[in-house]
Amino acid sequence: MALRISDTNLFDASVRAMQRNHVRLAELQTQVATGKRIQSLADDPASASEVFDLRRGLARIERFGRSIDTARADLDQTESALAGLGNVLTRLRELAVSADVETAEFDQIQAEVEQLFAEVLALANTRSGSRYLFGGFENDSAPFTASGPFVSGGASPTVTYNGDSGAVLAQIGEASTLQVNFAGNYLFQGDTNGDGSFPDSPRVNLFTVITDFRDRLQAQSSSGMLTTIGDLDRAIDQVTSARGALGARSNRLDIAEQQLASVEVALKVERASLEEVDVIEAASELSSQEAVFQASLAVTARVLQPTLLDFLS
Amino acid sequence: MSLFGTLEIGKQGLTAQQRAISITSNNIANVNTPGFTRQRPVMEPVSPAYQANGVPLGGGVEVVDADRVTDRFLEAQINRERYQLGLQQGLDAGLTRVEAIFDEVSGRGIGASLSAFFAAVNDLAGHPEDATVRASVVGAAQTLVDQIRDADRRLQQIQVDANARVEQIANDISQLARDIAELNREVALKEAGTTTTASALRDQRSALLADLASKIDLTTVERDDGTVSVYVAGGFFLVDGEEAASLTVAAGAGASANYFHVWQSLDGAVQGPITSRITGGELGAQLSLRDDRIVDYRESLDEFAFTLARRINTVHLAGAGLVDATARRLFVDRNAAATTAGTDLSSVSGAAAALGLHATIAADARYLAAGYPPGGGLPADTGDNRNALDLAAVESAASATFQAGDPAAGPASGSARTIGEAWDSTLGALGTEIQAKRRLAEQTDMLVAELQGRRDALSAVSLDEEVANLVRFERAYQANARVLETANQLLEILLSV
Repeated sequence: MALRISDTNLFDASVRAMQRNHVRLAELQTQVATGKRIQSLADDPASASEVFDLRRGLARIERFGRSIDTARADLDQTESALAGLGNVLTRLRELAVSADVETAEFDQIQAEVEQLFAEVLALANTRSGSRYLFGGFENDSAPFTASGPFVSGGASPTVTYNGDSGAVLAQIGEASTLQVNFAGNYLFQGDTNGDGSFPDSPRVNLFTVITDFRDRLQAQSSSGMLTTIGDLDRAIDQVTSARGALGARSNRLDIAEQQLASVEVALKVERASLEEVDVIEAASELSSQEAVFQASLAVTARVLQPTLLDFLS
Repeated sequence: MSLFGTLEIGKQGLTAQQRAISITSNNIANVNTPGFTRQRPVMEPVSPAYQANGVPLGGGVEVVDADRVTDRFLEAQINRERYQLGLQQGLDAGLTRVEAIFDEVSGRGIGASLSAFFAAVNDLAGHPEDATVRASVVGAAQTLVDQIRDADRRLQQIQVDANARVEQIANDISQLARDIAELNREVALKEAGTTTTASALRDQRSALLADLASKIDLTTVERDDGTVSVYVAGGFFLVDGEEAASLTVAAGAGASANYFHVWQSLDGAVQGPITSRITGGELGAQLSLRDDRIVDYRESLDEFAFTLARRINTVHLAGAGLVDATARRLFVDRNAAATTAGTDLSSVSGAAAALGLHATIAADARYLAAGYPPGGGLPADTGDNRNALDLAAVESAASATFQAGDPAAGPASGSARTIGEAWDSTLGALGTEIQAKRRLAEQTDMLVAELQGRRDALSAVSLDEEVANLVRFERAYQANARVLETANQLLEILLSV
């Protein structure tokens, strides 16, 4: 600095120092008030980019979470339908066993079997909201239709599948999908390869198992009951194994959800460390900056007061 | 030497001290005048008019000049930093507007809308048959399109504003050039053949030069006759003595037809375009924003829009909606003639402005291709979510080109990136650039303040000093009065003999 100093120097230097302190103070106040360390891209471009990346990651986690919720609702509905189906099949087996020994009650049993057939058909057309659960991709119309009602003395109706073997997947993680549905032809008709010819051994067509049972009752065929009992055992196995698969899927959902939750916590912690203000540090910096600002005000006030005029009389 | 000579010396001394007091009082009066240069009385002994026995006696004193205390090299240095500062501050202000347009930090930007779009697509995969979910996908896509186009429009507005400023600043510069030339004339006239300094005129001229320096890069040369020559934009003459050139603007040709070019003109005759030579000051900043920086960010936005459209369309075309089996693009060129399939954006350039939604899909969300076409010309099954899953997967698909597996579409970036990452890198570049410009502007501001401080230390008024001078000249005045009194008494003694 020069050996000479002017009044402008003194004034400008004080005012600049005051303004610089004021700007810094305002920045700190904004940080403390909003709790955010990054107010502008320019504050910390590298951290800002990372924050955007983390936000995207968190958004994806939330998204997978929603997929998991949707999938779980569908699995629960399917599970309750399968539980109902299991009960019906168990009852049919009881009837077959009793018919094996009580030929006199065939008519009565036949009436109940026809009722249970209708129940299985209704379960196969289970809906979740407006969607049919067992139609594959074709979930907007009833997947199974019977050719007609039971006619006394007549042949049993046949059941047609109108859906497809579409596997509805849900994205439940970055690289994991889960099949949410069972296609009706697979579950009810035993068409494991979806080629339209069924049942594929060792699976059975539930509808024909029941209509065969009813036809045997109508034909008063005691000898056929053993075959029916065998068929029903396989049908019950078929449903039980599907419920087992459902349970496994449900477990996968739980695991995926737990994984997402732990990743979410990690991402949130990282985001907070980049984006949020360390409140204690910021508050203490704020108060020290306030002190600096007040000091610069005090200095300005004092620097500008004395002049030679004060000492000349 | 006679007693009258002593009287004369006393009279000159009184006058000189009185002039010195007047110069000092002018300094004091101007203590708060910005750009005022303090003056210093230059006193010189008058050549001896009398000799006593061959001994030369002094002839008194006279004030020959009120000298400006200044360092013209320092002033030139300050002006150099001023145009740097003007450039950096102008760029900082423009780029800060870009950041406000993208508004990503607040979580309301294009990146956030992109994320919301993919969230809606994900929901579509969960409920492909749900009309509400479908509508929200279309809504999210529309928001994204609107936001991209709006950002592009507002970026363009910065260019338009900068262009208007270019014309204003060119006019300001021309006016300043005329004023400086006029002051040159007056300074030369007043100082010609004298030892005096035209302080007030020079101060005025310095202020105009400082103003000019904040607007355009310049160099100045002070001539012997007291005039200042000004060269701008790397050597084009603006002021030479009493002569001033002007900057005129004219609409350009070709791609920049809407934008002014700056021409150097002399006596109404256009000399040549200097647009690309201007590198400093506010004019340099506005030109750089208009022709370079904003152009870059609009290109980035175009690339983003193009990449989004290409990557989504590729997948969307493979699927089918619930109404028919026709393959459609989701993001189309809004300016193309309406066709049922919709046309892809034709080029990266202008993609952001041309981005639109397929009219059929925008009107009826059932046309969104959530499933695969089952064949036989049939629409997709209601429960088929396979294409929706594919669409959702676009978010995490990284590619070095605009469109995966289509190198002909040109590279979007050097390394493989997802759409979101590509956008992040644009924002990162913006943030880094603003940060750099802001730091540079702060440094230059400090430097200007430092230089200004040195200039003020030399040239600005110190009241203490002036008051001390006042006392000094007052004492000298009193002493000179005593000389007169003494000479007078001597005369009286002589006369009373």
